Amino acid sequence: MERLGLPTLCTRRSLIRAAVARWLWIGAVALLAACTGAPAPRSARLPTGLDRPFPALPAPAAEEAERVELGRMLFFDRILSGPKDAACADCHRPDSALADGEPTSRGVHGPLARNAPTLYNVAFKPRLFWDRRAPSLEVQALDPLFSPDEMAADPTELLARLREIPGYVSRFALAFPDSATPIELGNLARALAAFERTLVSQRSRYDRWAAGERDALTRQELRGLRLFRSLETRCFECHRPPTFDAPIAVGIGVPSQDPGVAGVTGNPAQRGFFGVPTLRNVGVTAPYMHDGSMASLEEVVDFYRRGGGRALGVEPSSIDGQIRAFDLRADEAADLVAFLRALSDESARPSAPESVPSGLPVPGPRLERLGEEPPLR
Amino acid sequence: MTCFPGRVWLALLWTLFVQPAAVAADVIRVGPGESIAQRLEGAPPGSVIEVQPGVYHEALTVDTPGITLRGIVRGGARPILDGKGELGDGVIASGSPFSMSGFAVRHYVGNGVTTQGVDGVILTDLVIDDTGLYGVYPVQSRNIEVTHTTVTGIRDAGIYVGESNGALVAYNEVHRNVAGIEIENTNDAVVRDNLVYDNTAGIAVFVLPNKVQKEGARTHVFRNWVLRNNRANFGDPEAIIGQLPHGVGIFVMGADDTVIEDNWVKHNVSAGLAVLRLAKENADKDPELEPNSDRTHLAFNQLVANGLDPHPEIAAVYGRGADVMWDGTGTGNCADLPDATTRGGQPLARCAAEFVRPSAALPPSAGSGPSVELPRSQDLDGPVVRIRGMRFEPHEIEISAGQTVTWINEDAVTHTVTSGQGTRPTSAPLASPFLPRGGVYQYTFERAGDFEYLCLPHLDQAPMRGARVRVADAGS
Repeated sequence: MERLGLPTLCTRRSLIRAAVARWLWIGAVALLAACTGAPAPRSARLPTGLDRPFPALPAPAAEEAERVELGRMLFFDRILSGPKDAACADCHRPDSALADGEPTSRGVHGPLARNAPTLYNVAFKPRLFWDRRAPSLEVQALDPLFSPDEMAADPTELLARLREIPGYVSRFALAFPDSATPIELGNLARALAAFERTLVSQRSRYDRWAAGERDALTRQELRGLRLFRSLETRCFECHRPPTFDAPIAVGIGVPSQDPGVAGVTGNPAQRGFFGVPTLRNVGVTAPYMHDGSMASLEEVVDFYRRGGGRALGVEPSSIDGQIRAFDLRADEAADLVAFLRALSDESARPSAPESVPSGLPVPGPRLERLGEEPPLR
Repeated sequence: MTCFPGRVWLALLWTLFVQPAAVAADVIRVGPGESIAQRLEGAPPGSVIEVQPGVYHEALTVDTPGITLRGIVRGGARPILDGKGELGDGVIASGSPFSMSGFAVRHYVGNGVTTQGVDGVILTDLVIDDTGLYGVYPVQSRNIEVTHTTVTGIRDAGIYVGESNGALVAYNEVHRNVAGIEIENTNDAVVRDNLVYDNTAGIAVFVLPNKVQKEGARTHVFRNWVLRNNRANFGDPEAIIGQLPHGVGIFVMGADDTVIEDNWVKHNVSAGLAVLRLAKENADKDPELEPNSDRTHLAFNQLVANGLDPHPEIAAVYGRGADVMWDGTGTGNCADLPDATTRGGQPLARCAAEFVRPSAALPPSAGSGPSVELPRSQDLDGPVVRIRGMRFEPHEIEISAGQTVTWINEDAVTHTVTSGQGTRPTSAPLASPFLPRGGVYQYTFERAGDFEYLCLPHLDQAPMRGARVRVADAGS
């Protein structure tokens, strides 16, 4: 019953009123059914075909709990960056749905090229990064650490730092009892990935609806869901339930100099292609697109309505064939956005540790951060 | 919405009083003036929604598992889902399994019927016209049957099976669309006994880039009639479909292990059969996709007068049209004909002698679709035309306005009764479905006139065209 999220606090008066109304209603239904053989009105739980399983996750390690906890410490610890001023949690902020609310994130030298994606449900993505260059979470985790523009850590120095911190020596030993030298990069990546795999989002109101709680979505949201699956918008073709993404790269024509996947593969035909991002928590992860160039969901819907980059002079051959202009009234656009907002669930939001083994300040809530100086160069 | 204790009572009362009634009444009946969508909403899994003839201006969403939408067909009248050019999609289904029959679906902007991620799709006896991009679109689905369905006036593909596994597309009549039947990034499809004519292209088995399912393999295309697919392309000129040259009967593009056999392919002006690689500009977009058509078998097809007036793009590449055309790519492609036109002159290999036609193991064509009612004596009071020995008997018939003519197919092969002058079919007023042996078609002539008709699969044979019904005024 927990997933139903039913309010359990009722006033005495509302209880009586509800009970009377209910009896009248049931009486009417019973009468109707008896007289006409009419089917009963919709029941509280009615399964749907969209109650679909998420991709399977790797089997947990024997020390999964220790690894997750170690990963959480590392995630919030600025010791991982070269200048000791940025943790993973600075760009994947628990109070910003594990994104950072900025068009593009700030690295050691200033703004980066791309928007920080939410980490919710990265567990289900076979390839990571906007350009899909990382084949696993473990590989992904190390990339920003050692990128000279992002966290700018030096691998040797980072390991030396961690080995001098007793809190990490003991935690790594617990999490990786079979390793001769537990503090090494592979284990660092494994711990971060184990933590990230706990960041699942699959209890949105949409999920409750899909599981059969038919009043979990409003009429407007249901209209939006239908538009999402229509052959006009074709949203569902790439943003597929239940993850609302797809393990593919496509071009939609966001005007940009970023080569996207072509920058990894060297294949010019994939210029401007990016991995399909999940729409889970999309209502709370503005701004949008690989460069954060769209501020609102309304803006994104309007972009697609006009045929994506086709309306903006982007080379048509770089835009997927299914991205076509379509008619969408203002009220329909609002319906679609309302549905997208029903994909929010942050029930797995991680809590920041009170302190981290390095003793450095733990990334705090947004308000505190706003008062901070920009990172030192 | 409500307080918790109330839910408990409700559930209890539901179980005690309401539920048994609902179980007994698992057929939900809907008539004109009522809303199908409204009745669908609370329908429990496994419900049958039985809909009476009438016009329903609705867009249906079927998310409950096991729903059957059953249109009641009575005296040629059937329930019509009519989008009136305003609504997007006729039916969107996600519940597994899903079944729909007996409806007409027309005038939707987006699509007629789509199933998305459904396991177990049965779509039969539907009449679909002018529903936007696709008539029928099972996508990301499994175990699909699309049968006895007529699809016309679609500006992309009439029947489009996309990214699916396991599909039977049979006994359908598909005409006046851009593409007739498309099997895209799909494995293990059977496309058989369809009548596909007057589209821009007839049947396509192909792959597209940047899909999750990267392959399309083992499609078996047999015993289809693929005729005169020469219609000028009326698809979106900026979309891939708008680039499709007219006049190709059946083509394979990037799919593997496709078997095309025992089809009648006639009068397609660019090519009868074509085996091609996915165009480079599309293939390059997806390095994970293998763009060649490999191990295509073309065998036992009846190829007549194809390629006689090829589309300029095809003429530019191949020099001429042909019954069989191959672009010289892929491995293991073969045909049982020596005269394929190929790019660069490399001959298409002859299929190995041990190649056994897969259809030989199947029973002969004898589909009796739901729209085909067997003759009862009271139905045959009026004039009767028997189709036997590959001719209409009698070839000409005279009747009075108001009389109903009955055609009965007594041949083993499939015929149609289709209005047309000479060898040129038109779509009205006579437009029978695909008539298997024993199939019956009736039409009531309300006005006087001279009605010429033909049999689509056999319009190249003189006795099967130029047949006539002469209707005199009732009073004369």
